This record gives sequence, C-alpha cells and structure tokens, in this order.
Amino acid sequence: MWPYVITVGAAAVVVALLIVVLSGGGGGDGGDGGDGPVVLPSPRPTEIAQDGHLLGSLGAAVTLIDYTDFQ
Amino acid sequence: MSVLPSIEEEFVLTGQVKVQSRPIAILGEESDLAAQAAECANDQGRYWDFHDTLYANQKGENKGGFLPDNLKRFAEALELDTAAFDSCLDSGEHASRVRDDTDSARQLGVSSVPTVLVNGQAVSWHLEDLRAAIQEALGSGQ
Repeated sequence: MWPYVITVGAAAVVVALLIVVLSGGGGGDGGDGGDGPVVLPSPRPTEIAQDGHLLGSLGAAVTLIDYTDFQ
Repeated sequence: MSVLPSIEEEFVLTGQVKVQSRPIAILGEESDLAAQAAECANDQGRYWDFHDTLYANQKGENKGGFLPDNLKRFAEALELDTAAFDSCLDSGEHASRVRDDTDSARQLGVSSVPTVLVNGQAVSWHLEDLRAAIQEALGSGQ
C-alpha cells in the first residue's frame, strides 16, 4: 500500500511542477512588466481645468506642488 | 497618488487649490522614461491623462512596466497621436528637461517622493496633514 501512495504522491508533485513551469508561473521577478491590458483611470470632472502640468484654477489661493516619481 | 483624488474633490474642484505636478526621476531608468513619456503626452495636451495612467499601471520599481513599449501602449490606449508620441519618446526629446527638473528638485532638498509643498511649505503626503496645511493656507484655521 505505502509504495503505491508514495508513487502517486510523487507523480502528483511532478505534474504540479510541470503545470507551473509550462504556464510560465512561479511568481518570478522576470522584469517583463506585464503585457496585460492597459488600465485606464476614470476621467476627471470636466470642471477641473488642466493646463500642462497644472490642475485647477489659475486663480486658486493655494498652490500645491507635487514632486513625483511615477514609479 | 491615492491622496490626490480627495484633494481634488475637496479643494481643486472648488477653485481653492491648484496642483502643479513636477515629475522627477530618482528611482531609476524607468522613472526617467516615464517622466519623459509624460512630457511627450503633455506636448499633446494630455499630461494629466498620462500621469493618471502611469499610476494606474505601476508594476513596481524598474520591473519593466515603464519601458518604452509599455509607455507606447499607454499612449495608444489614450488615443494619442502615437506616431508623434513614439518619435518624441524614442528621440529623447524631453530627456534634458527631466534631468534638469530632477537636478533642480534635488538642489531644493527633494530627496524622496512624493514631496509636496503647500504654498512653499513642505507637507507630508498624508491626507489629514495636507488638508490641515491647505486649510491653514486658506486662512480657515480649521
């Protein structure tokens, strides 16, 4: 009985490994960045003015400067 | 990024605050490419759409998400003039601008991102801190 269980178990592990390898899975750090669909954000309200890097009314009393790195 | 929508809804939409985005590249090559791409989108009047799309498609630092092919896919998805965009990106048209802006930011003491100034005063990138700083600047005292 035990040799049979061990054989079936080993076969199951091999099959699982094959599935992972053939599907390209494994959660690796491959650096391809993904080729999935581009996620498009919700559009802003049209009431918010946009002028180049500026968002909002030119006459606004407060200016918020955002130094950003997109990563 | 997640803080900005709240600030926009509360203060920008109401005309009290304007936001000036200054893209810099301090986290590596893909930061540089993404910032250049945003400038290329800006050439077509779509800076903020591209800005938001970059944030919506982050894959981690220098993992390939912001390599040129992906940046061009973003432009295509946004229905930009892809020929102009691709040419702009491939030629490095805005490389010097990004480099100069990054150098200027560093000279001002910007060493981490995001760094936010409210009427010239540095404020942490937390909604409550930003809200308080804005309200103080507006003179509400709240």
